[in-house]
Amino acid sequence: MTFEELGIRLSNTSGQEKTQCPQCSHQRKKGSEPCLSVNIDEGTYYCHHCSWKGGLNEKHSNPTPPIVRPKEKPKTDIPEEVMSWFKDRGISEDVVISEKIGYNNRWIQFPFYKGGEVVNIKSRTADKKFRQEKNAEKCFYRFDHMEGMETIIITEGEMDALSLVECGYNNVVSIPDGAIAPNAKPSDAKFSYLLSAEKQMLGAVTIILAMDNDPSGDAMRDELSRRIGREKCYRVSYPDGCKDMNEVLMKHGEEKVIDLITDAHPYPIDGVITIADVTEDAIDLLLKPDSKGLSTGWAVLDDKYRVSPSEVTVITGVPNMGKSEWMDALMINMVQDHMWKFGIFSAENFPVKHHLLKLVGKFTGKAFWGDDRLDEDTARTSMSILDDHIKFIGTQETDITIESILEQAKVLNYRYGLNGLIIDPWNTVEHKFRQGENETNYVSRVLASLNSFAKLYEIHIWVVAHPRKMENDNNRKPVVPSPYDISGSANWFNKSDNAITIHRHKDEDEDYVGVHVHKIRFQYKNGRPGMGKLNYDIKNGKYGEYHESKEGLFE
Amino acid sequence: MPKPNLNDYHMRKMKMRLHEEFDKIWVKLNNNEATESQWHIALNKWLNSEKI
Repeated sequence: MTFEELGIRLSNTSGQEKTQCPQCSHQRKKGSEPCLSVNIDEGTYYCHHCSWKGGLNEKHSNPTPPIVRPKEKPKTDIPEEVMSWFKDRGISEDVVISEKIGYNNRWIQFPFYKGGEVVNIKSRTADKKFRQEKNAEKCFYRFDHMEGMETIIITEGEMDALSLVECGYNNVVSIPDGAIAPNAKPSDAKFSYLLSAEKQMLGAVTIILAMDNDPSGDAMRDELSRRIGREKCYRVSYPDGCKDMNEVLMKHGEEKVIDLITDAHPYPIDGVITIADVTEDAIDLLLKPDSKGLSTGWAVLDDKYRVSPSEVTVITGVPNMGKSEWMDALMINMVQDHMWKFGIFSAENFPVKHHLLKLVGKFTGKAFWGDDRLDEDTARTSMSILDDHIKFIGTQETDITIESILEQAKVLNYRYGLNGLIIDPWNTVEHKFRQGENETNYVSRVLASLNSFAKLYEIHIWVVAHPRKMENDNNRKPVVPSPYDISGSANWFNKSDNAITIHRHKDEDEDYVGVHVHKIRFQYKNGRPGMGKLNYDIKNGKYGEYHESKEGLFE
Repeated sequence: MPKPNLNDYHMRKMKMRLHEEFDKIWVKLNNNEATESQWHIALNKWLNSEKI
């Protein structure tokens, strides 16, 4: 299939183009309006009027355009009026020159140096119009200045970074694209500059986040700190009437800027939380009393178990009754319904290729084995989507410990912004008891570390653990185990936020999977304990609701 | 191209969400708040999901 055969008329042979839509343009009053977006390189098209869309059949290996470096460095010959503009904003001529700021036809140019080379140029006009080099590498502004630094200050814009340079701070960088909108779901592309700075960010002892004093700045600060690790992040508090560091410099002078950096305060993670620290969060909760955890994707569980960030859920159940299968199904639901991202340690599903096929089966709802199994194209497309959402942990190491899993999760969170972490099962992890520590104390200590990790990084952690012993009832059928039956004491129940047993109930009359919710810590938002029935489709590994009616599921 | 699985609620929800995200990026691109690269990625994510 070609664009010509589809009736799409193009004037270019590569790149991106807007043209008329062969499906709807001839019927429209504004027939000449180019409403069809065509990506010629990728072979894709989309009409913004009639939503006609599709792709050519060619396989496209690299959807991202290659990174391009600026053809020339900025011209550092700064006119007097531009230098005055900087001076009016508290930035001296010395700093403008040392930072190699450029100017070209109304545009002030901020060069992004990385490894001594200009990899991007961000330009702005006096009236705050911005532009960047097309397809340039995304990296921090002043990237080279954080090399080897124990403390790094991150600002939201170049002028704020220059304000700090003016006050004598050299360990300052700025994010390249400004903040994110409040309540926006942060995309990986928005944070792509973090990848090249991973060594510096994870190696630094202290990160001071000097974002703007507005809702977007707050949102950016929260997401950056979540990815970098809040244990090392500090915040600054601006004086009244100041939105950013440049305003502080202009209105209050250098000493105030230095005071703000000196007085930067840590995130409240040390165990001491003042009321002021959580006032805004509590008010948010008050104003949005109906905010609940996320649905698992099974309507029958909505009133029993919902998923919230920063919690730990323990899953148990008799072996071969589907704990891991249900866990995988929940993960796929969270990916599809909420676009969550997961790190997963699933030792019983190695090698990963088998596990991946099972996940694809759940993802597509199609069998991955047998004569009617899904086709290669569907499998490949599904895997490319899942690749954005699921990362396997601990696949090459023999002695996996909770510490090593959390360390890998920390890096994954920095790179991709994880929402969920699955440890399945507990007994395949190498457990290293401290001297004199018994299993009860060990479980208590490790669950406490999982809890603090979940809260620190706002990640939901699921731990799948086998029960210590299995008991049968009078009919010689396995009794539903509770979290108290897991090896390692009642801490499993006491120290988790939520506790669930997956149990298959099978007799002559019925056959279903019972999701027994034993404990929900925050019942006002995550549901109340109870049991939901699901059925299991062995062909594709998906769980559906046990009753015939799908009411509420297909809204 | 394989037939879409119209009965799968979760898949439909995901496609809808990817479509919405692409639309948002498109608006941002027009306002110079997003890059072409972001536009490509969002479009490909959505179209890929539509292939399933």
